[in-house]
Amino acid sequence: MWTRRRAAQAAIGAAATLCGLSSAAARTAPYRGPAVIIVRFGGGVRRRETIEPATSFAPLMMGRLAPRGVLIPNMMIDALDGVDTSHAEGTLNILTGRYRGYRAAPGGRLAPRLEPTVPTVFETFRASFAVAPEKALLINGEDRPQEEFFAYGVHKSGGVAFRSEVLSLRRFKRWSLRRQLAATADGRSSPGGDADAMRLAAALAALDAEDPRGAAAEPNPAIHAFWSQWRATYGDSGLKNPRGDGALTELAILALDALQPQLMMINYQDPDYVHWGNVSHYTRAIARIDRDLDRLAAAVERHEAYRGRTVFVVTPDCGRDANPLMEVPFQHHFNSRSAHEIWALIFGAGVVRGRVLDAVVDQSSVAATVAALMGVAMPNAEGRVLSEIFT
Amino acid sequence: MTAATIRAARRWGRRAAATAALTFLTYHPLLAILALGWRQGVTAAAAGAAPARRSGLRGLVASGGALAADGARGALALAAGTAPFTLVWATAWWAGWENSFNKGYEQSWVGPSLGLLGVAIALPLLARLPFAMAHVAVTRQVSAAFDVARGYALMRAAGWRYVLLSAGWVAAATPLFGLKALPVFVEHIVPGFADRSAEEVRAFAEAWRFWTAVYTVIVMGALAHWTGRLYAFSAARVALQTPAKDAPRDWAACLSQGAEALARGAALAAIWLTLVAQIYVGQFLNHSWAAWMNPPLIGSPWTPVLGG
Repeated sequence: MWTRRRAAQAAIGAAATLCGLSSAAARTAPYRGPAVIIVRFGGGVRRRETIEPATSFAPLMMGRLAPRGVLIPNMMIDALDGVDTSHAEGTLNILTGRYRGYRAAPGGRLAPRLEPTVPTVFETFRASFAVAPEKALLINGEDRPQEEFFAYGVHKSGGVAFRSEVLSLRRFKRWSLRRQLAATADGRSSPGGDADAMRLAAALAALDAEDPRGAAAEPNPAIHAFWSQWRATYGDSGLKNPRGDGALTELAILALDALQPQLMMINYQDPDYVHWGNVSHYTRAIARIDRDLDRLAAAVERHEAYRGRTVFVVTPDCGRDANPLMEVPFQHHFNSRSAHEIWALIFGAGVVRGRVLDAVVDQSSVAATVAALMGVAMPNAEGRVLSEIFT
Repeated sequence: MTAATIRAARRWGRRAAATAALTFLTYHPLLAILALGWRQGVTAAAAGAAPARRSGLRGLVASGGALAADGARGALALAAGTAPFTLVWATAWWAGWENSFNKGYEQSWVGPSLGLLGVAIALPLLARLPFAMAHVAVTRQVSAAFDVARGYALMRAAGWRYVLLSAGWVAAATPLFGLKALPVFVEHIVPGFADRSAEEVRAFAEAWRFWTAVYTVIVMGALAHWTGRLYAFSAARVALQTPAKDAPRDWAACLSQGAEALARGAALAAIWLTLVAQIYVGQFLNHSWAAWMNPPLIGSPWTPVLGG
């Protein structure tokens, strides 16, 4: 059982390891802690439609999952200068445990891309244990290319050597284009001849150009096998597989079997399609995440490698406005109080059951707490470890 | 107090009462048709096509039937004149969000393309709208809104004065877009707003609505008067023009007139494009389906700048 004492000991041990021993020595240690699945209940949701019982569109989460852990209803994004209540920023707060621990990555003039300037919990995890990149997985949506930049940062104790693998339909498209291009070059499948090859190469170059850092070009046999399996089911077109947040759930469940990640973050986002449109999109997307979260929890329970040793951390990247003067009061870019109001639900192995943590908790505590659960220290995190939620 | 002062005070009192009544008429989309009728009546009177109605609250009540008739004609003409682009805009917006939510990225071009088509349709229709509505007011016929040749002849005759009038309409609409957009920043504008009770928020919203309506009524009256006067000026000019059938064509003068017309057209397009930009920015900051169908000030006096 993963107890509070054991978490504290692991954190202290990891800190000592990082301080006293070479990082290379630390990285030889196998990981034996709990698996952690972070679910970003994004992009941007209010408490009212998620955790408030009378108005929630997430009945499964509140009815089945919340009793299995600790609900933190009063989590806040700190109202500091330069802190934006938005998706990339909020996600990086969760990943790094530090506000403003990011900077604009090069080449994103029209679509700003942020990259971490302090180690993420994923980089820290990989820097601390002998774990392959596919054991630290980020699962991203197809229409958020900027989130591909969260796989590693620029801090000296992190970086590309400790990157996570990313699963997304964009990554699949890159993999698929490379495969088709190679097949065309081999003459195995080239009905269109040179024209086909040029079209494929141009499409691939356009996708590759989105990440001038080029780290994703490195082949990973495990990921190759994963995408081969995905392709065997859904083909190359990208039109047969689920889309939107449904695709993220499918990727995550397949990854549990095929890659067995020890740390995984699923970046749901569909509630964001409400800004200036239909409120029903927002509530339907919340209900969809609710069902998918329940599916994920059930998949974990069924899986021998995860049953009894997995912790879920569910939290939004940011809140949304609650402006009573507006017909569609669901913006989140204007630093309203409601956009700072979020929540977290943590349940699973070693977590107190059926408790509501009646305290104001900062979003930057998520990374520190996840790190403590996994037995690593995050000296750059600003938030405290929520040790009271451990058994 | 002199008799003149008393008369002036009474006159202003009557105007204030009428403004208050019109203000409340703009609160409801159906009652706002009466306010539109009042606007049409002011235009017709300023154009010299109808006697000025009795001022004040009594005048409004006495001419209730005429207000309703003028308002109904104005509403029909407005709907016919603006629906070709407002419907396209609303559809484009709907299509864009449906595509985004349902991940129909393969047809993501539909929303933006329809939106741009709407802009292309809107510019010529908006450019002729002030005189088209004035023509309806003066002739008291809805079909006058479709008398395109007459409308353009009047616009040509007005020359740069019409460009200035258009700029006046668009400039006067700007504060309404501000009043629509500002609520999104309300927590920064009004300290402690997030702590207000529901009752306090309701009172705040009522005040916001009231002053928006007061502004709408006052500006609408002034613009209707200006439009009517310019319409009369243009109509007189058109009437004085005699076609010189047998005179030799002065090509230099033709070229000069063509260039000037082109410049006026470009200026009108630029002016009305700023209104379109305001509509889109306003919708991005504070979306409302009704606002697609009813551009503030240009459309019906019913101006729902606040939702919720």
